[in-house]
Amino acid sequence: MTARIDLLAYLKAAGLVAVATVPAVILVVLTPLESVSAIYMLPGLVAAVWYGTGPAVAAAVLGAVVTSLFYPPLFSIEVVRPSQIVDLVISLIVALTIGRLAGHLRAQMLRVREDERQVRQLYGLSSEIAGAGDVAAIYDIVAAHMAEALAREVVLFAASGGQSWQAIGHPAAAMPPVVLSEAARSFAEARGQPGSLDVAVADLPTGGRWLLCGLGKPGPLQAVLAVAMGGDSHDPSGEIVASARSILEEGARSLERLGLTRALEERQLRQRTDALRDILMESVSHELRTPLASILGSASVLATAPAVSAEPRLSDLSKAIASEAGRLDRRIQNLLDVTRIRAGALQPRFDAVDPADIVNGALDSTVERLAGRKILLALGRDLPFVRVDPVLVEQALINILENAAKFAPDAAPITIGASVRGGRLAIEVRDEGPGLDRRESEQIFERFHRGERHADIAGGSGLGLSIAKTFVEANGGSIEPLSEGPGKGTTMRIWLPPAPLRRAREGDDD
Amino acid sequence: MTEPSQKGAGPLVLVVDDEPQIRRFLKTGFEMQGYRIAEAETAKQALELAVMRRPDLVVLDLGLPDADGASVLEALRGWFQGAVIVLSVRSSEEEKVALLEKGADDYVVKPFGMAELLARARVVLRRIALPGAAEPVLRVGGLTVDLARRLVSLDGVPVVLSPKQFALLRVLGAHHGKVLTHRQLMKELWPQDPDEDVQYLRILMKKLRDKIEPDPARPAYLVTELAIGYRLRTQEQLDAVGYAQAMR
Repeated sequence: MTARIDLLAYLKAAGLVAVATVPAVILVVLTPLESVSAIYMLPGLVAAVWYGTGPAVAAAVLGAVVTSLFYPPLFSIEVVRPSQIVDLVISLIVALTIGRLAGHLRAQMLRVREDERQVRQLYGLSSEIAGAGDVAAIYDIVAAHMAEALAREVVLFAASGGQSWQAIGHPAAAMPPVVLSEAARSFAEARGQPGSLDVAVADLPTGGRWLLCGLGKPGPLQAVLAVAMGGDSHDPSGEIVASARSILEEGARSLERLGLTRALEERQLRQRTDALRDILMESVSHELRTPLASILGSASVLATAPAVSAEPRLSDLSKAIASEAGRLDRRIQNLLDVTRIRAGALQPRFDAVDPADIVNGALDSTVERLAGRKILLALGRDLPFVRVDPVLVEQALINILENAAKFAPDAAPITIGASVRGGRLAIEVRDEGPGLDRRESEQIFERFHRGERHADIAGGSGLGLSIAKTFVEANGGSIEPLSEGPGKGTTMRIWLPPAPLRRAREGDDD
Repeated sequence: MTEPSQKGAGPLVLVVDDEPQIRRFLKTGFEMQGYRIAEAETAKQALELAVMRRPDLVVLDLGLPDADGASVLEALRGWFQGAVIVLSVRSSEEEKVALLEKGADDYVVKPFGMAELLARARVVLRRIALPGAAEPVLRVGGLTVDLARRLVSLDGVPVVLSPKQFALLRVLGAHHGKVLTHRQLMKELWPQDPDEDVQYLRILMKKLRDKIEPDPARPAYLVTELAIGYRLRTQEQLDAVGYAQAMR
């Protein structure tokens, strides 16, 4: 194609010389002109500007030949006088120099124009990409620009999970050859290795020649562009590769930017989710507990009404309504606690606390539920203070106490102790229940776990111990289940971190 | 049980809650015990009724539609001399402390039984009925505290307290039955540096319990409200918890 354009340019240059002959003949006829060499410099100049150096040189040489025709004797190339020879040589040199200079100028101008075109194209690419909302859109835009800029067919391959690579945006009938997608895949895999090329030529025996370009940051690729090189047997020119690279770079930058945008969006989404969860928790808390408060309150009023309290069966019923409402309320609290834990919204408010206060608080809260149970309290004197959130640890202890009451036979006592062991404070809750085997010791803290052996005797959601464990751990403590084996009872030992030691202030004593 | 009134005109309780079902059982519960009731659904109504009817006790829910309970409490405390019991939700110890320090007399956590609220109401109403100082002699279980003569005895046996220990008992006795926050107690006991470590208060409390509690490991008189403060129980409060039963 380029060869034909050149030939045309030479013909046109010759045409220019022919055109110049018209004023030359007129001048020679009208005036006694010594030489027309100046006139024949013009075609060389014009050819240089329009067609480049080659045609300009040709025009200059042709011009010189024709000039010699105009020397007397007219229309003969025979050169007779030395002055004519000098004229001819000088004009030829001038024409050649002008032609060359003009040709350079033209080449430079063309380069500037090409640069401008490329910049404009990249600008168009980047502004188009800026509007792209997802990865697939960026791939498409890059592929379209590549096809336009290189004026070649471009096939886009994208990784679609696992090992399969697929051409995007091709109707089934015009699918590119399988060998090409194979080549794209192996190129993409090779790109994962260090020192690999971002652009490579694939010579497919049955599918022609393709320039493969990786799209994306260095490392495993997500997309490959294959540029058809047709039957060209040469390596692709530097221009094509450079042009392809600049488009690829722009695409890679956009993909990276999109990644950042996505991370930002995810964070915003998470914040919105958190806010939504808080609203939901508040709403669940309010919507479920308000009716419960009415039920429990109303039942408690009923229980004191003379007509009801005089009839034990009725007063038992109204008490049962109240206590069941209370139980439901605690279940809801458990669920809310689990939600809080899962959301990472547990924020202990640490304080130096007398562990006896926590134990007594838990006992006070469970007075009704443990009514009729034998509770043995064994708190050591002068227990060191612990540094915990007393409300969370109290709740953990309540859950453990309820668990013990649930599993132990009614007549058997539950023992609560607190003592210093090896410099650390331990609160222990011991029951005479079915005990634990080794596997159960590991499982009891799992959410919704209910021991198989115990399923028939215990109600409940299986959340209590899991919450207890999380609450204690949030306070820097731990829970240890101890059991000598099935049927031998269970001891839950809660380790709590000590508070810094303080003595009574002076004058406070005595 | 205290008899609210001889003339059928018992103490007036203003119930402030936007939930009609809650107001309903509170109304019945209070009226069955001889109290008179006024009801308000909003903060605005509550303040208007408080001005017009001058109730003896305001039972104030914190989740009102038009304002939070704390602002109602603040508006009331500017001039209102009666008692205020706050209906609070669980796991908001900070809020409870703030409300107590803003002048609430007590709080009840929802859901609650009527007996619990009535017990609290009786305690705060009695305190208001005795203007100025508390009763000169307090009796709870085996504990007797003569505030004027600074004498303390347990089961008839005199107990010797340090001045600071007695000061703590006196402050709690002056607000007999009411929970006092750590900060309120610190201010009374160490007026020059109330922001000192609360741990000093806890140590003092522990020593006081060792002297006046029959079983210091399971205090019956000086009880802890976790993360909030302490309370000296009244005889009625002591009976209500059914200690003997739980610890049998």
